[in-house]
Amino acid sequence: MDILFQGSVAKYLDRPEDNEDAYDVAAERGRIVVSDGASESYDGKSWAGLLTKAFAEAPPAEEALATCVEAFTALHDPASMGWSKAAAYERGSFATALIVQEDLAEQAVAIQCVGDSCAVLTDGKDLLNVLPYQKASEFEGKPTLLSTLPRHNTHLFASGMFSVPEVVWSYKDARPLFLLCMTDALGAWLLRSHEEADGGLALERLLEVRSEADLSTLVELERAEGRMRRDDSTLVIALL
Amino acid sequence: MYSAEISRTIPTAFLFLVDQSGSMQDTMENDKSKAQFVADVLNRTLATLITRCTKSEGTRDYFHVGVLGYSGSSADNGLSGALGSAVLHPISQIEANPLRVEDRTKRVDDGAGGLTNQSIKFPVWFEPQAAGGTPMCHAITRAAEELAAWCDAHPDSYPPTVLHVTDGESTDGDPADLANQLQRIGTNDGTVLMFNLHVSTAGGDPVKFPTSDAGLPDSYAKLLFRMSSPLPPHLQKAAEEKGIKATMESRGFVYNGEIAEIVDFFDIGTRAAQLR
Repeated sequence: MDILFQGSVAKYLDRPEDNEDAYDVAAERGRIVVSDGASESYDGKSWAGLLTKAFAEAPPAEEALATCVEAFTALHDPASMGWSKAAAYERGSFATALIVQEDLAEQAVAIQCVGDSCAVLTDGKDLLNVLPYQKASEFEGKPTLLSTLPRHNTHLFASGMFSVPEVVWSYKDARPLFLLCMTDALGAWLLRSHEEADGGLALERLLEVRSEADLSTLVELERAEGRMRRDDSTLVIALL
Repeated sequence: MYSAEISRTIPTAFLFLVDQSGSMQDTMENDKSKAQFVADVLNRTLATLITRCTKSEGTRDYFHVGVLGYSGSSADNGLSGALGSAVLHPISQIEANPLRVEDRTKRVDDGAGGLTNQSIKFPVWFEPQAAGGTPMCHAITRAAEELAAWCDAHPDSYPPTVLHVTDGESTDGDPADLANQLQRIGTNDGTVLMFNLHVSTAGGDPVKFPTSDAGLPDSYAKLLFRMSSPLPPHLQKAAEEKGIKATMESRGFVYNGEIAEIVDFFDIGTRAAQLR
């Protein structure tokens, strides 16, 4: 895969340090990881960063998640916190994980997804495949996320063993295609625009992004027009 | 309407109206006085609000919060000390200024099918009080003054929410018209939402967000039901996500129930489904 763009724009441009999204791209290994730290988290930013780093190197297995929890625990000392920070810490920190692995031999990408970070396969005109949601309205619900607290990760053991569902999208005989990985505000905006039959304009504008300045211009305009939710917005565009 | 983002730049407000009259000394079915029940509810609700806003770097001011207590013939700031200078405060100021922080024990899941004791810090801002009459009309008028000024200063904010906790026995007249007037104050995003929590010694099961006053135990409950705002669609949805039945006809009325969860209805960003 060729990476055409990777970048992120904070919820507020004057507070980039508050951006709780994280991403990691290793084009030579065909791997993309995006994570969106939830706002209602004690430290969603660190949690998203730890997950991204771990899943860029290894599959999202039980051991890898446990290592992330240990690393997160090492960052904080609840015993030394005041009552409010201790209470917020005890609620847990939460983040999404969107993990893409290209299989060049099979000409396919495997997508694993927890939460509402979004992957789209497109030929530049149509949305050929979309995960995890098919409708923009689905982004309005509260997503089930990866937590720093094991008691909140039982959804990963739904089959009795740890597993993160995987979907494989083949692009055999269909190149060139674009793979877009993005956090929820961008995903909801793209799907809504598509549902409103915008003639592919939103997709076209998204595919034209080549710098953080481009992304910033796009999301600020759409936020100002009330068409895009104000949230940290991360985008990775890969050419397959 | 009711769609404005709640953020540090454009916060929303919660104003608690708390009945501190003599009738609040009465004992409820749970053996607590109504005043003690109300104080616990208020302290827990404030702590819930603050916890939602607190991150590793501190408490973010998504909310402005105030308390008006009423008894005798007046309605006054229910918070004291550093919080006594004004009624509404950024929530970080509330966090920083409890009266005290108590050590309490909570029974929690031990992860192995049993329960275990967990030490927790329980902040207290508000003490139970019960004396004198119930100047509810005066209190609602004072709330209207505070919120009109707040809305003028925050025209683009999600409108304020009033959480009124009382046994309903107003001694300075019928508050219904004043409650309606209060709910006409607003921002560009909508008018004030008024929730009423009726605490009663009459007993019976708690009631949340009923669609009519049929079945409510007395005239005070029925009055408070009429004074309560209809739930806007996004709050109906938020209630349903918490497993509370709510429809288009539901009103923001709770009988002998918990209101801490009401402050969970207001989104300040992504919240995991696991935190329902």
